[in-house]
Amino acid sequence: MADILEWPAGLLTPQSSPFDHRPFSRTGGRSLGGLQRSVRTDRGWWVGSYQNIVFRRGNFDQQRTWNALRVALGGTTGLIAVPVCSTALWARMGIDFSGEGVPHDDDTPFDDGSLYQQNSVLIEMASFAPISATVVTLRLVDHDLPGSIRFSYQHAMYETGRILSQPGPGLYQVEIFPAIRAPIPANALLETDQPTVLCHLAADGEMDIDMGVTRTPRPSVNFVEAVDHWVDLAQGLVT
Amino acid sequence: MAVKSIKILCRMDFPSKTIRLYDGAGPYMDADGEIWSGMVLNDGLDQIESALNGEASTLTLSLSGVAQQVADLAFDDMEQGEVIGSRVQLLIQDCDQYDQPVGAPQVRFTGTADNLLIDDTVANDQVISTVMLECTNRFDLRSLVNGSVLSDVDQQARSKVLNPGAPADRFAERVPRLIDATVVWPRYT
Repeated sequence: MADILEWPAGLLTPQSSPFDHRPFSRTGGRSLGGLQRSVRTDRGWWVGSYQNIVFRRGNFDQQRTWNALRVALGGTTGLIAVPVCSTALWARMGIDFSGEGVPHDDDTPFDDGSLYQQNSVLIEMASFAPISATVVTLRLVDHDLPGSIRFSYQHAMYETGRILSQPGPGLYQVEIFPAIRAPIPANALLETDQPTVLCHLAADGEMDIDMGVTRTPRPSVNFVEAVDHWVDLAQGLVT
Repeated sequence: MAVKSIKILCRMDFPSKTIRLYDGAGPYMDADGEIWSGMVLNDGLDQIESALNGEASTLTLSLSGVAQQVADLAFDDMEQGEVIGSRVQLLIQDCDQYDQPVGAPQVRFTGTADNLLIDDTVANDQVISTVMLECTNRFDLRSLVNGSVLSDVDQQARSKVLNPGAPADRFAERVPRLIDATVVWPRYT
């Protein structure tokens, strides 16, 4: 089993976390008139960053977690699952990273008023999605529209595009980016509250930090998607 | 409709296993259920393009981000003589607008692996390891640059490489003798 860390987004929270596509395009260069014709050879992969991670003054938990993370990562070889915090692309808006509790009160004498935690949006994969599929069918259990949202399954993050068809009630056939990294079985529940993308650090020095005396640091970390892990997984080199 | 999306595939048939690579990220599964590993073809594509016209007979493919299995093969199997002589094919797979393969891939280049080199370059503060695969096909050493002179010595050296067991090719030696020869029409009486 590959050793995958998860970025503690609740503790080390960035002010923004853009994650973008990097398609593989090949061109013949520009013509004299400025025209460029390009051909795509693959859907591409994710690149992203955590911008301006907020450190609170006097909070040693954050600094120690930071050091623990970079010791465990050990440069660009380490695998880390990064939650994508840009809430505008979540299936449901306006939730924080901690998730929210659902009350369950059955009026029993030993009721302690504790809350349950569950996904606030339920989206399932309606049919089996094999490796490198780019069109998948989603079943919406508790949501209205599956267009332009992000979901993840086992730390492989996907972004849906256009809705292509509606094969049945609650079923939506959507185009996704990138191609499916690891097979998703039918009826699998997808992670939509806090989609994570499996990443490497973009460079060995990404976790450099200056713990100054007079001010609190605002570091930014760049990530690239760990596509090598998905290749190894597909070939059975790692489990 | 013009094809906007293709996949560049590279297949190496080694005796112990077949290695499938493509120019892209992540795994790709073809219609037969075979997994192709994503990596980056750095260099050599331009030579493939000229190979389409039948001009390039040798090809140096430079691969970066190669899977560990290729690197292992480069280290271990080179000594066992597995790599040299095995078949290398480059294929192009047309895809539809959703990047799904359409039809069967077309073979663009078939050759045999001639050498496998490992190259480490230092760029900024990182070490980048690439594997270079030198391939030749059947037309290697058989073509001549336009305007060059074919000498008897060259031709015999070529024939020694191309057909080691046979006696040396004396074609270039015989041609000058035939220049001034008069070939007469046989008389049937």
